Amino acid sequence: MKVLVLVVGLGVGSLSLAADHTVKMKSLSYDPKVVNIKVGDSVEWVNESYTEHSASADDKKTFDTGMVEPKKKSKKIKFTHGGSFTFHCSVHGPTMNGTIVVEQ
Amino acid sequence: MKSTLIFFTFIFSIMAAAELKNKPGPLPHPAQEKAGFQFEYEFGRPIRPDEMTYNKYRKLHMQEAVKMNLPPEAVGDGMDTWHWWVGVDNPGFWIDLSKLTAGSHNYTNLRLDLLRLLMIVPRQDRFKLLGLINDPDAVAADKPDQFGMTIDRMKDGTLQWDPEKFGYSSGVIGLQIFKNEKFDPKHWDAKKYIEGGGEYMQAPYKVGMACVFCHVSFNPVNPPKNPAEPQWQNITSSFGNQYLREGMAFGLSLKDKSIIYHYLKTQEPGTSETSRFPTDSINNPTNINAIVRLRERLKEAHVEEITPAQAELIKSIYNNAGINLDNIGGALGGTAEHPTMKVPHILTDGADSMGILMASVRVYVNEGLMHDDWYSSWPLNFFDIKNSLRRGFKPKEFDIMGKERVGNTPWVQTERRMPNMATFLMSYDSFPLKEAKDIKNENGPAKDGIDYISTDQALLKKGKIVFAENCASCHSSKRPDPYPTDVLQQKKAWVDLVLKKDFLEGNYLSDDERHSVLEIGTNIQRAMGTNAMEGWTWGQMSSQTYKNMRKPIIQLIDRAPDGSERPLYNPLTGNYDIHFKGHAAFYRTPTLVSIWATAPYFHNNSLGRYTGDPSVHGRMAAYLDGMEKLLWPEKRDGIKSIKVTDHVTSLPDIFPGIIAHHKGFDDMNLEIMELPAGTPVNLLMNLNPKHAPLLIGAYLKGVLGGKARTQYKSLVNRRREAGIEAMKKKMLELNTCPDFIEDRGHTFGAKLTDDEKFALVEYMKYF
Repeated sequence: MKVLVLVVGLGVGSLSLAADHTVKMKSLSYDPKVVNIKVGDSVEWVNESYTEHSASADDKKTFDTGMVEPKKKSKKIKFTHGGSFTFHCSVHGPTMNGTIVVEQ
Repeated sequence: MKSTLIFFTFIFSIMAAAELKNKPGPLPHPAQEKAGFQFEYEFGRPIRPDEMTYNKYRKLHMQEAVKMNLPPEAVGDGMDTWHWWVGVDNPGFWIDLSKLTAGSHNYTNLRLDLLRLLMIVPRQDRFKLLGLINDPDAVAADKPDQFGMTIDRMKDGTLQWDPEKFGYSSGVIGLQIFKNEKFDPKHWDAKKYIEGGGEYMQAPYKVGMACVFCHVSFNPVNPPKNPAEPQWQNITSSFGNQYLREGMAFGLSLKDKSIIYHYLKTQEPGTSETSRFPTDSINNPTNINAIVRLRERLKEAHVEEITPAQAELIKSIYNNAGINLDNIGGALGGTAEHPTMKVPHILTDGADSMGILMASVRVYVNEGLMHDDWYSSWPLNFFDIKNSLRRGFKPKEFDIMGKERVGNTPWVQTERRMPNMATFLMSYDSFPLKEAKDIKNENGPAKDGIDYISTDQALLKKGKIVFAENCASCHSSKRPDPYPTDVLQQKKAWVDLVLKKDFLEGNYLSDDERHSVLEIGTNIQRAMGTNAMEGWTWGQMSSQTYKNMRKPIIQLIDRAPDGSERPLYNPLTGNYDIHFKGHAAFYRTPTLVSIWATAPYFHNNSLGRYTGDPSVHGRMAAYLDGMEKLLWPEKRDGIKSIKVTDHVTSLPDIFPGIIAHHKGFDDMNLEIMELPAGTPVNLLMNLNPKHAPLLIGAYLKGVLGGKARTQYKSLVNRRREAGIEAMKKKMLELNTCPDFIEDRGHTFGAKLTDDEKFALVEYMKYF
């Protein structure tokens, strides 16, 4: 029973620390280029440019915002595992790139 | 100004690496991994909501293509290739030329440097000076960038592709900017780069050339108000840039003392000298023709023989490109021992004769694809003149069979993009005059296309009959069926066909056949080109049929106004007394689709007045002048069409390098061997470089006038003119193609009555 309470407590604590982060999509770059977050945090991309962009994980599986129209924002992506995730824009290729660093 | 970060691929700094070691993250993105130096690509102003962009232009064109039953995605992809693909490595070709002509070792005084060109000719002057068409997606730079360079900026929001693959717009349609991995900021000085001389500096950018550079045009039915600032709705991508001054784009920095300046200046607008680098020793620029009604053209394809090795090559290429062996752009046939291909005749002389795919990749080689290997096929390899001398300026075949397709080479990568590009090119039909809307400004009367068109049915019927009886047998892809054997019946059958309401619909207005220059009578220089013959640079890319047609040696002639044969015109004597024999030569019948918008005429754009005016008014003025000179040959320029210098010129700067290896000329000062103003440019430009010592020898003999060699120094000042005259005679004697009158021939309409000619001119406005 005590173990169960501890687990729940940790869970609640973890939830209370989860944060949202915003990455701006510029003309041909992300701002910030590198985002440091914690496991459980979420990231959304806001397109401040004049053309469509995406934020697509380089590994082609971790996440993909899909196309984000100018002046719109992406759905929030929640990071549930630690690691460093590089991403790029599927329209503009590796020139437009960024990294999400997820700390445990 | 919006700005964003682009990373150069230099070695990552030690500091950054150390920092990465100490922290758990972030890891560098793969694109950053090689980088260490950053620069900002600066966009221009943002796009406005009502502005047409390339992306919108592309979408509209894809929608139009659907109406032609073409797959829109393939058309869009092909359009991107046409506009932005630079064959992977052609920027390296342009850097090599820049390097060759920029340093203190530069012996040509030319500056073949596209990047420099973009900076020294401001956006507002490019069309006027060079006929370059500005990219509507770009604006002039309002200040130098971080490297001190003023290159047009793309409007923010117009970049909709991967710039690593397709580059950034340079501001000129068809020239793309890429980051230059060899750039060294420590040794960079923009001002010195522009000036030239000294040690060559790698610039921060490199420039690549896409096919659209030559083939883009202003839309004839929707011309721009200001040709320097067109909108995308004023652009069409495959009609051919009739205004391009290719020669002057290369010769901008030369002085009029240079014969090379005159060679480049006299190149007709709207032509490209595709044998400039892999030279055939003939100055023979050819018109950048309109690519229209391609599907109908392909139906006119002809079966030609190829070798078994060529058949294997084609199979491998088609396999790589994912297209069938019997595809319409070049269907393989015949037997294993005697293979054939059904091919359209591409280029004005029909030399490109192994299908659309092969011809298209060949164009990329002309733009610099696989350039390191291409250089070694050139008779005169500017990058290794000693080697050219050693092999006596002999050409070699560009070795597609043996070398260029081993591995994932730029050639192989480009092959794969060609099927969609061909599909894109099929999406253009015609530009009817009746649909043309002219610009309304002070430069010309506000007449639209419809205002130039006659509706006089009797006149038009007369024009149709004249066309049927005199032109249609070559200038129609529709033929009477069945075709009578009797000549009179044939004429009637043609008239019946042309009078049909749908005669012009889907008609390529050409038989796409090669016709002998003896029959056509136009200037032979282009047809005499040798680059597609066996052993020459394009030898592996032409059919055996083409090669066999070229083999016979024939007497080449001019024709007097009465149609009788006469020798070629001699500019040194003023008589028709040049008896010249050479290989049989041909011209493919050009299409007449939208002929109202394509003047001046002939394969060399030499017939008719060049107006430089893309308005409907300007095109019609050129049409009427061109047609008048076509049908009334006595109104042509004739011997005035000979390309001549208008200034005293010196011999090409390359001469000292060539004759340095010959004994007996050590005491001769080549600088004083000046050619007088009025010298025919092709007297010199149609010479094989191996003959340079013979020219100097002729000069020497002329100066000496029979006296001893030791007398040269004492005679040269008094007898220099005799030396020059002797040298000019030798130039004519050694000339590879002494046909100087540019606008001669194709006088088939000369014997028509004036009424018939006027009627024909009116009818052809409907093409």
